[in-house]
Formats: sequence, C-alpha cells, structure tokens
Amino acid sequence: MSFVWRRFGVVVILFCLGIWGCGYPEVSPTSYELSKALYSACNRRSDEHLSRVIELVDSTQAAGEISDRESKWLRAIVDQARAGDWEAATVEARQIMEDQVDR
Amino acid sequence: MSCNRWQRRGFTLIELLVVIAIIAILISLLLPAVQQAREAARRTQCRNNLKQMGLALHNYHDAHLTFPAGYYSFGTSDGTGPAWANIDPLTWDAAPGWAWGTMLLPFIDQGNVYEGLDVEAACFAAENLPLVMTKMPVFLCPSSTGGDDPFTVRDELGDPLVIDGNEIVLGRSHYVASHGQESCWGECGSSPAGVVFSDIYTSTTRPVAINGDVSKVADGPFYRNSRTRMRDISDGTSNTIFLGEHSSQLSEKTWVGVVPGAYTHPEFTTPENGPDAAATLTLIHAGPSGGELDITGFPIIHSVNFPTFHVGQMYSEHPGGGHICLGDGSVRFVSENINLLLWAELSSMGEGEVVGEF
Repeated sequence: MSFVWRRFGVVVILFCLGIWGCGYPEVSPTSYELSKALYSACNRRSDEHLSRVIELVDSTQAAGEISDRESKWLRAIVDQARAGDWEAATVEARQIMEDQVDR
Repeated sequence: MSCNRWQRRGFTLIELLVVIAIIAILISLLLPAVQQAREAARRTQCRNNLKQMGLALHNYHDAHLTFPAGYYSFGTSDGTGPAWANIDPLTWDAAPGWAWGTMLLPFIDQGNVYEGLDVEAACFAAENLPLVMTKMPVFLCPSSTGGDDPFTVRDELGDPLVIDGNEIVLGRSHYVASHGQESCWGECGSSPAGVVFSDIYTSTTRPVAINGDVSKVADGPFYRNSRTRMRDISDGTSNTIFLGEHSSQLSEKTWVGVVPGAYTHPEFTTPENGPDAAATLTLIHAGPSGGELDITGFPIIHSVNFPTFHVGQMYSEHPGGGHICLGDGSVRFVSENINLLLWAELSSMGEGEVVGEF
C-alpha cells in the first residue's frame, strides 16, 4: 500500500513540475498581440491603456479569436496590474511573449 | 595488531555519503557566486568595449568634424548608378558599404587592419575579403553565446549571398549603432515617400518625401550616409543612445559594412521576428517607426531585450538588461523593463523630448 502511495506521490510531483516548468503554451496571434499591448500598458503603468486592453480581451474572446484559457491568463495579468503590482504584471506579460520562442 | 589498525582506517558507506553530501551542498552554495563573479567580469569587459568605441567616436569626430556614417553607400535618387556601385534595386543600398565600425578602426588600435583595407573599393570586393573576416575582440561581448567567429552573409532565403562569384564572410560584432526611433532601411530606402511619427505621445504622424534620402526619416545619429555632427544632437549627447548590444544569439551583426542584397536572419523564431534588410547588419532602431501602432493604438517601441526579438532591436545576454553607449561617450546599463517612451526619447537625437531619469 505504501508503495502505491509513494508511486502516486512521484506522479503528483512530476505533474506539478510539468505544469510549473513549462510556462505558457503556444497562444493565438491575437493573444500574442494582446500580450504585447499588455506589456506596453504595464510598462508605462497606464490605466487608460490597460482599460483598452481589457476591452479588446472582451471583444476578441466574444468573437472567438482568443480561447477562454488565454483570456483567463490575460485577465489575471490585468488584475495584477490593477491591484498595483505593475512590475509583476509586466514580467508576466513578458513571459507570455518569451514562451512563444521557437514554437 | 597491524591488521586492526588497517581496519580502523577505512570509511563506512554512510560516512562517505555524508562527505559527498556536504561537498555537494558546498558546491551548490558556491557555484552561483562563482557564476555571478564570472558574469560581472564579462559585463565589465563588455562595458569597456563600448567605452572604447565611445571614445573612438569622439576621436573620429575631432579628426573629421563629423561622426562616421551608419554606413556609406553610393548616393542615388532614382536607383540608377554605375555597375561598380552594385545598387540593390529594392533598397538602393550600394557599394562601398563600409560601416561605422570600420571607420573606427584607426581609433581603436586597429590601424593596421584599416590600412590593409581598400576603402575606396566595396567592403565586399574580392581584394577586401581576406581582411573583412578579421576577428576583433573589441567588437565581441564575452557574454554573447551565439558565436564569435566570422559568418557568411545570407540572402533573403537564408542562402549564402554570392557577388562576383564570391561568398562574403564578415567579422562579427556584438555591437550595433542606433538609427533612432524611426527605421528607414529595406524598401523604405528606395521609397518616394513615407510616414513618420511627429508626436509619439499622441501617435500623430506626418508624411515625408524620401527619394533615397533616409535622413528625411531617420532621427538617430547613424543611418545610410549620415553625417551627424555634435551640434545636430540637440536633445543632448548624454540623452542620446549611440551604440548598444546585439548578441549573436539573436542574429548576426558585423563591424565591416552593409552588403547590398543581404538579409539578417533571426537565429530563433517568434511570432513576429523574421529576416530584415541589409542595414540591420550594423544598425538597429528603437521604434516607433513608420506610423506603426499596436492592437490598442499605442506606438510600437522595442527597448533592449524586448520580447518580440526583432533583428533590428538591441539584444543582450546580460541578465536583466543591456549596455548602451551614449553620445557623450558614457556607458550605462539599462533595464530591459525601462519605460518604453523613455527608451524612444533616448533613441532620437533632436526630437525635442524631455528625457527623464534612467
């Protein structure tokens, strides 16, 4: 029994490492454009620019240009910025773009 | 008796494992510190290289009353010229092609190489091919992992570019000169007209006539046939970027010159990067350029290490940012998260922007 639990534990750890270690997967061209705009907005700490980004996230999600999962990632960054953590939001927006290298 | 003594000298497996574990922990504690020290040394070397080039630019200005051109090209306003000029019909880039790096050679203790070159001929002429592949340590950043060796110039498809039956191999540079916010290379160089930003804060643009004169677009110190003087830098030399880094990990750059018909290719791909015209062998720009806006209507600006990874932007492998050499010869390390508008302000030399702290 303990052997089974140990094996289960190893699988869970490997799964978690896989989730955390891989970063963002390939995103749609529109999501890429939105993450670029989001990076600019967070970099400049511009609420106005951020509002424009979230408007576009809404409209492109409604039009099916970005997936629900991509929308969730972008909204999470917007929320981070709106909470005042601009630096972390900038880093996260950059991460989405960096993770598209050689995809 | 002696047998017992020998037995006591041995280690048990547990003791051995404990020692190995302690050594492993000590190494894991020490290794990052050693790596940081090595990177600090590489960073100092890189900074020193840029400093030497900054001083050389000023010495060049003292000697010639102007900074060297981004690169020298046969002047044409209609795309025609003599056969020796080898004019690229798409960009109007032409012989001789020598870039700012070559012009600095006499001022960075490389006078012998400069004397050996026939600068009256093209940088891709057969007689110059043996020397233009010279490896120059001052143009190489030790942190760049993409390679130090000379490289073969490529065409748009990525195949070796052949001129007069010769492939062209150029010495590498990990440093590039700033064309400013706007870029005017590739098809812009042969366009009758274009669009430039007149106000980056409001995304306002205005049309300009070009007809082969890229100075109508370029707002930085180095471009095709530029003759920038100290007095032209009205934003202030300490507020204007002259030189910066571009690691071979992203794309191949050279100290030699611009070869008509050549293209710079990214060494890794992203949704946005791709090959760019010959001028990007030696020059980069900051953006915004050509009235281009992002999906929200904000001008597209790419600071050092910007994650679109254009071959026409600055790119450094130093953690967190890269070095720039300003017009006053000083060298600064700037964060890759520098305010984008500030980066654009630093890149132009006479737009009248008030530059904040950086």
